[in-house]
Amino acid sequence: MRQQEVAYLGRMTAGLTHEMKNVLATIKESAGLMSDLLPIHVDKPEVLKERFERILPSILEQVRRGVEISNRMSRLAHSMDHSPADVDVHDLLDEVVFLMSRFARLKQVVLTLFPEAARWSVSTDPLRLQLVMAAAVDHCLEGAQAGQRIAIVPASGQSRVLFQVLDADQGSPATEYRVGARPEGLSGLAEVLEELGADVGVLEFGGAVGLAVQLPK
Amino acid sequence: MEGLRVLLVDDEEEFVVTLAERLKLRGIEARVATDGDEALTKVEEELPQVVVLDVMMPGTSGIDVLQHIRRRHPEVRVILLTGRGSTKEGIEGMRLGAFDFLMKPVKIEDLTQKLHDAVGSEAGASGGEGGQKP
Repeated sequence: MRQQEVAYLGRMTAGLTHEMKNVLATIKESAGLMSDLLPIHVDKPEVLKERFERILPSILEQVRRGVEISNRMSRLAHSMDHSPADVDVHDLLDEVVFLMSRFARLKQVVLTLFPEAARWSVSTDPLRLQLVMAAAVDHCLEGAQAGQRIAIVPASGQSRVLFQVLDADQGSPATEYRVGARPEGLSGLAEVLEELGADVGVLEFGGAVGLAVQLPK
Repeated sequence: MEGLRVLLVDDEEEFVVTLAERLKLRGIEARVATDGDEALTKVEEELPQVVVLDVMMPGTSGIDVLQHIRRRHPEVRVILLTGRGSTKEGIEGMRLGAFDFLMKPVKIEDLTQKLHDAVGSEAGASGGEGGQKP
């Protein structure tokens, strides 16, 4: 495993564990509040019932969130089990959107996946392909402003995934575009791209920031 | 600590609202902000004695808010909340003028103690570096 992959795993794991701490902190405060309220309202069971009925759904929601984070961590870990493997592109992009959403949220940018109706698979190294997709999101985040969103559009017919930075009021991703050269900022991915048989090019559409990731067919 | 005015700042709304209610049950006047910009507005409007501040927030970060408070209101004490598993971020925050830090999830007893310490040290606050060791 090369340093880039280790760094990617470290960054994603740090983000997920940070989210998990937020989940646990919220559950802890909710449970703590219930504990605080018990002696105060010990003679008023109807008050306790009303308060607890409001707190419990919050705890259950945080547990659901925690389970989702655990599942994502597990999938990330198991993405290294086999290489090459048949990778469902939509599932992979869904993972990348979940993992990168935290970093997007810190920049007040939203990631939106536009899934195709048909499923689409490639035989490749799952972790390295995920790393490339995440790097594409990072590249777009660098050029995005608060309030914008990044549309992620799989295009199976061209074996591409398009990443387009859109304004909040811009409903659909652009369909007219040109794919240019690999941006300098992603030159560090050259070796990984070569191993995958993939490539990354600037997506030119109306002067906005975008990338096209060309996948192996 | 009756009447102590605290501003809790965290983008995890459920967490921060619940924590505020628990502090209120302990006689502490706790207000809430869920992002850095809202925190800066409330600091100006309400001038809390202590700000409990999450480090990682969308938009204006906790560190930016800390630095703003240190410049504009050095008498306001800042306790950082960090979600990292190490003390590095908190120690860096103290170097920038935070009074102290806590790691999530917090113990309510630890938080109330640190709020107490912060207000107790208020008289000695002169806008310099934070003084407590974690």
